[in-house]
Amino acid sequence: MAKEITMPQLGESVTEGTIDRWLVEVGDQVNKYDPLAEVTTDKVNAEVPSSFSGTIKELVVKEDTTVAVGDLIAYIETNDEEGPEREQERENKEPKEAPSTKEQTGDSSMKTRYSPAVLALAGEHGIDLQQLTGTGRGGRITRKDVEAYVAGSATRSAPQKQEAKSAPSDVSEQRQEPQSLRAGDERVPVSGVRKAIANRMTQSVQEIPHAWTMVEVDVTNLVRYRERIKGSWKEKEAIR
Amino acid sequence: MAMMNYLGAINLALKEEMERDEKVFILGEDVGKRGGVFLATEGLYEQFGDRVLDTPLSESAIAGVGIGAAMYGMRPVAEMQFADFMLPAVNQIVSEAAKIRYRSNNDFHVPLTVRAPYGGGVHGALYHSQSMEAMFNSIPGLKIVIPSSPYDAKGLLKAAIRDEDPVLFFEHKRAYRLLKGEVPEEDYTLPIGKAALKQEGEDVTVITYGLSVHFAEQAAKELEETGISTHILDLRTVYPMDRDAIVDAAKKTGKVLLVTDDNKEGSVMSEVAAIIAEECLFDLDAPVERLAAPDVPAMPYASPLEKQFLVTKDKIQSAIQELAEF
Repeated sequence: MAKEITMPQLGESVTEGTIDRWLVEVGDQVNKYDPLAEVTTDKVNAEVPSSFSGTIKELVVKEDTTVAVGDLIAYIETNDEEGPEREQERENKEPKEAPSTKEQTGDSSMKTRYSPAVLALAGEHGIDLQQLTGTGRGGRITRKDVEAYVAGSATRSAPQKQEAKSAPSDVSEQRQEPQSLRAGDERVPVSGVRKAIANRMTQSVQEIPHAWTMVEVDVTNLVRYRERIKGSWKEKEAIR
Repeated sequence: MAMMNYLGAINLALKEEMERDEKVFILGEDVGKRGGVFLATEGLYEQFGDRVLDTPLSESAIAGVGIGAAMYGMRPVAEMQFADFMLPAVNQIVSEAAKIRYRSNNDFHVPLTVRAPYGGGVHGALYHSQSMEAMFNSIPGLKIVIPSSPYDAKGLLKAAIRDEDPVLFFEHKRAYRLLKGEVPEEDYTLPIGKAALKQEGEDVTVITYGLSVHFAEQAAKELEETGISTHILDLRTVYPMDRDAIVDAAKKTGKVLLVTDDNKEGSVMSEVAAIIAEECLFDLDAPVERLAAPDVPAMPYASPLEKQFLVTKDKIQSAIQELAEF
C-alpha cells in the first residue's frame, strides 16, 4: 500500500523547505532511512530519509519547489499487511465528500428558512422571496442572494457568479506563464542560501546608516612633475 | 523602519519610554540582570540601573508596589512572569488599582502598566499557557490591551505606559519570536480602545485578537483563492470594547465568526456575541459562531493534545468556509 512521505521540520523555527534534488526515481527500491531527496532551507541543507522500506510510487513535488513543513512530497509503496484496512478507510473517506456536493444541487430543505437580514432586505425592497434561487446550504436564500437580486436581474446574476468563481483560477494560470522571457534568458530559482543572503542584504541597507565622504584633488601638477622626471629616472635606474 | 519580532518591539517600547520619562520604571521577577525569562527587558538594567527592579516571587507585592508608586506619581511597568501567576495579584488589581480613582473622587489615580505573557502553543502545559483576559474583562476601571503584531505591540505598549489609568498588557508568548514585521524606530503610539480593521471582505466577518489575528489572516489568504473573501477585525483592546467597530464589522457581511484561543464559555468573545445580538439582529444572515479552545481545565502538555486544544489556521479556515456556505 502507498504511504506518504512529508516535508520534515529541519529546525525549530523552519516553516518551509525547497526540494533541491530528488535522489530517487519512481520505481526505485528504497530501504528505511535511505536518503530520498536533498532539501534546502535558509538554515540548513539536509537529506530527507525514507520513513519506510518499499518502492517509490510517486514524486509529488518537483525539484526546486518550496513546500511547507508537513506537506506531502512523495508516495512509497510498501508491502505492509495493514493495506486492506487503509484502503477501506479511503473508500469510506471518498463517499463522504460526494454527498456534500449533491446536497447543494438537490436539497432544498432550507429554501424557506429566512434569516433576519434576508427578511429585512426583502421587506425594504418589496421582494417576493419565492422568486429567488438560494445559493446557500440546502438552497437557503442568503443576504448576498437578495442583494444581487436587488442590484440587477436575478437571472443574469446567477451565471455571473459562476464566472466570478472560475475567474481566480484563470488568473493564477495566467500568472504561471513567463511574462517577459526573451530568447537566451534563463530562469534560475533562488536557493535557500541565496534567499537568506538577499534578506540580510536588504536588511543591512534598511537598518545600517550609509555614509560616505569625498575629497576632490587636482593632480595636474603632480602629473607634469612625473612627466618631467620620468626620463632621467629611467636612465638613472636603467629601466627600459 | 526595521524588521523586528514582537519581543523586540516590546523591548524597544520599554527602552524608549524609559529614556523619554524618568518616572517610568520596571519591576518584576528576573527582569533585571537576567533580562526577563523571555528577554523582554534585556539590556534595560545595563542602561537604566536601579530603575529596573528584581522583586521577590510575590505577584501580590509586585502589583501592590506598582499601585503605590503609581499613586505617588511614578509610571511603573510591572511584569508578571506568566499571566498564569497573576492570580495572587487579582485582589490588588481588581479591588485597588481599578477602583482608586473612583474611591478617592479623582484625588488619586493609578498610571500602572501590568505586562504578562499569556497563551499556549509552546508546551507550557497547565501553568504556563493560560489566557487570563476573560477574568478581568468585566472590571470597569481596567483596560486590557492585547496586540497582534510587532507594530501594534510597540505603539500600544507606549500608549499603555502613558495612560493615566491601569492597563493590563497581555503578550502572546508564542508570538514573541513567531511574528515579525516592520516597526518604525521613531516615537509613535496607537489609541487604546480602538479596534483595527485588518482587511476588507464580503463573505464572512472574523472578529478576533492576539495571535489568532495572524492565523485568521493566513486562513483568509488561502480562502481567497477559492473565491471566499474575509473581513477581519482585530479588537486590540478587549476591555473596554470598541462597540462601533464590532457592530460595523458584523453588519458588513452578516455572517460572523468570533475567534479566541481562550476557553469558549464566558470568554471575551461571549461579550462580542452579546453586543452583536443587541445591535445587529436585522443584519444577521447566519448564527453568530464562536471558535475557541475547548472547555477543559487546562492546556495539555502532549503535542497532539496541545494541537487539538489550540485554535489553528486550519480550524479557522474550515469555520470560515462553513459560514460562507451557509
